[in-house]
Amino acid sequence: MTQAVNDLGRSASPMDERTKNLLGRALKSHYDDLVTAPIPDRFLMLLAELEAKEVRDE
Amino acid sequence: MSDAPSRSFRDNLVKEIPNLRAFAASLSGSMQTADDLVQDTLLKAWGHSAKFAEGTNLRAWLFTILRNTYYSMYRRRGREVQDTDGIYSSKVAVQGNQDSAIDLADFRVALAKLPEEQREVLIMVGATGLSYEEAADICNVAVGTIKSRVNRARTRLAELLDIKGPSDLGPDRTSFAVVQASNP
Repeated sequence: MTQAVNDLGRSASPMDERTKNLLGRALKSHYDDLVTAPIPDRFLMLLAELEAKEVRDE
Repeated sequence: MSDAPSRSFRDNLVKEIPNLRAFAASLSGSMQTADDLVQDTLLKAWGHSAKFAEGTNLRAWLFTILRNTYYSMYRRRGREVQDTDGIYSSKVAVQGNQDSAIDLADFRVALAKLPEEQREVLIMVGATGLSYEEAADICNVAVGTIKSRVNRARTRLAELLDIKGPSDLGPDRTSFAVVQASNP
């Protein structure tokens, strides 16, 4: 139909905006779910240890 | 020591932990591997803080460290534990336009099937707020390569999730597509 096809026979037109939009939202949802998860204490403890070590070394 | 990380560096590092975990989990497919990766990344960042150029994007710098660590040390292990069930907490549906929606669990299964080089750039430019240029620097490839990986990733995801484009929906969708295409 209106879709342009390049030499390789694949669709040369960009993905339609609706699909792009849908995938974009799903991607954000996936990521935001992970980003808002509670942070384990181990990371803050690690940084506190590293900081304490710097102070000792001075 | 004069090279000791500053207070602001430490504070900014803490602020990036959620993004590091999310990126690491997306990359490895395992929350446990993600947390080990984040720990290694924090240690390296702390040890090399003098190499971070103030005023540049800390997230991009940390992602570079995390990514290099993953490819040099964790990749195989990540593969072994790749299991998208049970590593992520929620399974809510993602509301799309009108009648369409993608189930988050389905999306994650599809995402895990992408080649790593496509998955990582899709996450970077599609979810973390990094630019194509920053993603190109992180992956040490040209911007055009990033763009093509993103396009291939989207195409593959649409296939895996069986999302039909407007061409499958008949002429009614033409005006809708024109309106959408006029958006930047």
